[in-house]
Amino acid sequence: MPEPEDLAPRGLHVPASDPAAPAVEALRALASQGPVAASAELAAFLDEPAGQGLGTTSPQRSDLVTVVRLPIRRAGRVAVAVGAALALAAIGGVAVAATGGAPDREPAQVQQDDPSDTTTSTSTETETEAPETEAPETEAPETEAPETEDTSDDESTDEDAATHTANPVASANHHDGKGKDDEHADVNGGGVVDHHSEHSTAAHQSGDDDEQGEDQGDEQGEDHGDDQGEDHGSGHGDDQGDDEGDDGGSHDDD
Amino acid sequence: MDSALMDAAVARAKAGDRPAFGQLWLDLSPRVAAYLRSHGVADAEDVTSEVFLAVFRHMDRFSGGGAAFRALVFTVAHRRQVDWHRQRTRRGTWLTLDDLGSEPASPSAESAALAAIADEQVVAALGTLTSDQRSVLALRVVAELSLEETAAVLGKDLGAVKSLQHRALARLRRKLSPDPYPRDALARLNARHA
Repeated sequence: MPEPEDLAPRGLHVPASDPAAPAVEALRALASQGPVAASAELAAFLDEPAGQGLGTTSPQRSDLVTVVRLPIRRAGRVAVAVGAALALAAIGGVAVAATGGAPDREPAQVQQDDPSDTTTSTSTETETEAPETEAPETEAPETEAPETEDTSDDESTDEDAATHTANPVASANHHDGKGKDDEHADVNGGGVVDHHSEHSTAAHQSGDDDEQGEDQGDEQGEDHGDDQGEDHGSGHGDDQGDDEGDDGGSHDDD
Repeated sequence: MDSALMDAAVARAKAGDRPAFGQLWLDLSPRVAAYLRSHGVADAEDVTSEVFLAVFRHMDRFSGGGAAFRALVFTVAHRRQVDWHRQRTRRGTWLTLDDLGSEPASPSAESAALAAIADEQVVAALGTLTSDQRSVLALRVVAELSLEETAAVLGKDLGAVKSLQHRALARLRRKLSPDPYPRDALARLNARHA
């Protein structure tokens, strides 16, 4: 059974005897307070509906789209220009790296290994030779170290210089007992190398190392003179440092 | 404005007739403002203008007669008042010391609006209604919508709207009268069960 208030098709009308009637009439009275003041925007619309947005919603959207599209097109052009510049820069960087970019990286590694032995006069020369000696970083550096000395000692016997310089340098330089250089020292020395033997003279005078040390001292003293004396006197901080010293001495002699 | 005049005004407004917009505004804006005030919207006139502006700008895409237009207007008004209350909940209520007056607990906005036209007991009774119950009553009384239109505006089914209306009236009766049921209704019930 429908409620009495549901019978009205539109609106809600309760009988006056209903206790809720005062509240309903209070609500109804809210709507009879008079006209509402329109806002400025609505007043402008009511004055001219066609010019204030009626039926112009789609053109406004299209205008907004065009306004947005223009910066997007500009941004696209700028992006293309920036991309082309970056591509050119990348190509240039690759070309520089292929021609002469790699040696620029090597001196930093050389200086970190032995900053005490590097000299300003030999720095440029080591840069030219560094890629050949350090490119095979796995095992090559100490085996090639004598070769660099061979280039400087054209008149001396290459094989003797190579064998004599390898072990003393390795035994003197590797105090920590770590790294690939120590492995080479073992190979060249032909036995177990005491990496903590430092520079004691007894260590050099006994066994194979003693012989090589004598040979080296004699021959290098003859061949290189002052240069070898400087190199060995510096304590053989590093193989590369020795190489640099030798090379520099040879060039100075030349 | 009866339904025939409303239909004609809506048709002319769809065609861009400027006086038709003013006619619709004059007829419906007091009801929309009353609906908003019943929900405690403080700046009811500004929100009313926003409601009509939103509806008028899409008038060219509207299809229907006067009843549909009325339902559309109150649908937008209902959503605006919901948004208004959500924003108010997020931002909080800002009151100056002058607004507070001597009493720290100021009455609610809907109570203040109703207090201008009704006595305290009626205001207190309407204040006890839930938001949905107040919406149903306002749409039925102020907007003069049918049950179906009210259900469409609120997004509820017809049975829910009937239930809300029934509970709202029952609560008002309990608050406003020690005898919660009207005498004629009781007489009908007594006659049926007798």
